[in-house]
Amino acid sequence: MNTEEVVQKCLDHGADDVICSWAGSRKKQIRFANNEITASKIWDSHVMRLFVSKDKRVVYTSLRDMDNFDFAIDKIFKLANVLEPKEEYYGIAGDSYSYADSQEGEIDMVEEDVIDEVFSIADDYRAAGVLYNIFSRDEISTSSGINEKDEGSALEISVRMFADKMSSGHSVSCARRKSDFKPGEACQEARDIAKMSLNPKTGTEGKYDVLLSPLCMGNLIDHIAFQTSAFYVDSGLSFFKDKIGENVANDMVNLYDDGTRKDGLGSSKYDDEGVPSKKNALIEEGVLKTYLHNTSTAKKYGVETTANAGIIAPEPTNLVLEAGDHNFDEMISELGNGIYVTNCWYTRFQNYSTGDFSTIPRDGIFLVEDGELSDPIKEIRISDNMQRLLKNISALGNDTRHIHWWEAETPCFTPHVMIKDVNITRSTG
Amino acid sequence: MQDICSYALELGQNRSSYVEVKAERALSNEFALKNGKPETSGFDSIYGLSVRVLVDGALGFASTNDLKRDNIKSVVEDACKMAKLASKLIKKPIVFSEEEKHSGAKYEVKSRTAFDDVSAEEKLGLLKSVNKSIPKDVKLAGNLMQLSDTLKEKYYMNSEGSSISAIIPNISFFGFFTVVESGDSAQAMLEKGASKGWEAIDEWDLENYVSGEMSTLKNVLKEGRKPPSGKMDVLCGPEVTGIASHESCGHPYEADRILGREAAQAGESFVSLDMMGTRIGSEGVTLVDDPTLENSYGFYLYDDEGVKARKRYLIKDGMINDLLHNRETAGQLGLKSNGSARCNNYDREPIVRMANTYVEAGDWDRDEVIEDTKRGVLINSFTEWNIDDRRYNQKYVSREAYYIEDGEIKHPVKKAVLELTTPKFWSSVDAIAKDISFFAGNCGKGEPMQGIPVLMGGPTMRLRDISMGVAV
Repeated sequence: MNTEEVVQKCLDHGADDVICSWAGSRKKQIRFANNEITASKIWDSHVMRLFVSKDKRVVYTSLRDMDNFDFAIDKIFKLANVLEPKEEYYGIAGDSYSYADSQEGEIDMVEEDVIDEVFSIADDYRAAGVLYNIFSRDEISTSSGINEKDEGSALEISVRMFADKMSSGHSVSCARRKSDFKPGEACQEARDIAKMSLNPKTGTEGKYDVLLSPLCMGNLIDHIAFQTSAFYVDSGLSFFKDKIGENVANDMVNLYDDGTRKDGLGSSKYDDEGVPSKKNALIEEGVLKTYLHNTSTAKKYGVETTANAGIIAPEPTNLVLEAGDHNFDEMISELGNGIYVTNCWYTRFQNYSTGDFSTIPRDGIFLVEDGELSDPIKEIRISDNMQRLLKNISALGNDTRHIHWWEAETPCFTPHVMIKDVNITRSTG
Repeated sequence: MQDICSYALELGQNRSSYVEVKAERALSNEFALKNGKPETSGFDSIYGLSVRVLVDGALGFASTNDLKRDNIKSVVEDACKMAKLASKLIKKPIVFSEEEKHSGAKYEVKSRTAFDDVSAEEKLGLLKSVNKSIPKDVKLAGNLMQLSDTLKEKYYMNSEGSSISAIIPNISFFGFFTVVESGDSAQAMLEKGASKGWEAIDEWDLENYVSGEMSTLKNVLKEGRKPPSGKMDVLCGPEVTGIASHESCGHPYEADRILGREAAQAGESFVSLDMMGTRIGSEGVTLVDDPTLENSYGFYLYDDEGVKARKRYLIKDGMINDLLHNRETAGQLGLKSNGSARCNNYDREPIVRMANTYVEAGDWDRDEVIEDTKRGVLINSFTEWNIDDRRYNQKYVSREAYYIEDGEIKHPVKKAVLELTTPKFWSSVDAIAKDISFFAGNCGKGEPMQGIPVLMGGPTMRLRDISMGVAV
């Protein structure tokens, strides 16, 4: 049964709105550590997602057990008949749309050749990481007449190089086309950072001007963008609540969600409602312009959908922090005295509604002294407030990178970013 | 399930030195309430299979949820082909530890009240009742509650003759609350989880649990003062003991981290193999991980490599005693697995994981510890927390904390910060109470990420002469 037939079957059962999508993917992964392949995997996955509303009673299901299809239809309508109406449900997308073309098809790559190159660059350093080659197809049908298909592919490598236990560097390469995929450059960058970070000293707490790498910003921007989802704003999990039109970042900050970028890992022809992907300014010249919306949350807020369904919670596609005009050397020079952080992880909020949080720098961390990179340091923590950090951004690099890895779940395009007066803490004993 | 597993196993045996097959069928229901109003409800239905093989010392893995015979054949071929290609680059072949086989083993956690016997109205009604129970004088700026139940059936086979079936119900509650008071706000993330049927709901008494936490949070906001500074004793309540057990003892004792297999993601460990048998904590600190705790959130009797589960003493009387192993790490070190291989679904490889991690009870009464403390802070629960990727520097910010002076609790404090190295934390323990309790969580590790249910816990513990961290 195809998605169009499933939609009709649900309408025959008395549904008001129906969205049925089917996604199939073939994903290859090679994991490596200590300059050895630790596992090679292939996932062959098929999932049908079905959203049904009946008298504002809304049910959502994902099926990876197609033998259970009839049971699922039966269960959906049993649920729809007994649930209470969802007050804040305002329907699904209903227009007829025109769509961009699908991106390129499956990418032919000998994964083991890439791994061989990784180990060769690692040489006497230890390399660990993961390589992906992904091809996915999906189709969507809705009760409002949308019937569309898409397909796409992606190549990703995330690699960490260790000069010794305490000295490491990390880098990634993410691409939609083979010609844009640069695993060797990522490995070399990770190795260079590892080499520079040999013999780190324990850092000191205090206020510092910091320069954050694209890898580090990818993690932080992911957390920031999550808080622009109307669902999480409504749930009390956002410091952006009631701030549309207000200054939330330094004037130089322009942050977009762009599902249309040909080179973005998060791009697709349409969102989970079938609305063609869009580019939306989330923050423009420091001012919060919109939350991320699907049709229903948009109607609640009296705006147009931003094409970010997530049927339950709107979600980002590709996050783009607009580049500035500083090259790396200029930023280090302008920083004067401070800290350069090449990566971070384990970002956790004390309070999403205020933005109090901390994150832990990892891999190369360097002092900057008199406008030059100086000694490597270790064991520090950024313990600050995200709203303050956004306002204290003082320079943007011109070196945009495409970031997606284990600690940056939403694909992101970001340059190096300089931030003034960042609070650094460390263990007290 | 047995049929498709046998078919895949037979196909794989001809092409590999080792093959294991795992099938899983699961049905999950989820209900949610946002700001007191019903959200979208839903369910997930899963039926799939994975194959893991060793070919010439390389590990291959493939999975599918298209269970037609032709496709299963392709999946076996894919796993073997991937492993064969990888073997050309392998310098040191992967060897699994030798383990006892368990043929025809079965276990089932019986529900007193099956999830199917509880109506959707009752499940959603529970969340509404919890919402209604929140005291009227507590002002919420947002709340999101979710109730999930899953019935999972698993079948495991390997080429060494093991075959194991398991049926496990799993139920969890998750709530996120923002309390506003006196111009300030604070947030609480509350979780419960168990491997049992709907009867867990009666035992949890969610109405009392949530309403109590909300009143506490309001009180901390209203009456809480700045935390005292300087050196003092810190009393960690069971929730803080639990998170520290998990983060700074469980994780660094995972052998795959120590051996570097997770280096690019969750990281490595400050613990090295030559630290076995050395002191890491005070005498009296004994820390265990035990998957066999009946009805626990992290419960299992056989791990996802077919090894029988058992209790592991990670720290015994302050000394590093054992690590968590799967067959790969044990094989690398010439040891036996201690049954720590877990995966969160059929389509993920089994890796080294915790189950239920806790500090064993001591012989103090909780009140005795407080009475014996001249100046200190009791931290009952936390909000923000994190730890570095070697599990050496950890931070916990209090949700509920109190200042203690001359053996008495004086007043609540806001945002007490504990920011310590792991050796400092565990070697500062000088009193352990009897009041052990557990807290549910979902632990993240692996790539792709595998969130897995665990319990964390322990008793109230006192850490002596701690320099408090500074709040933002």
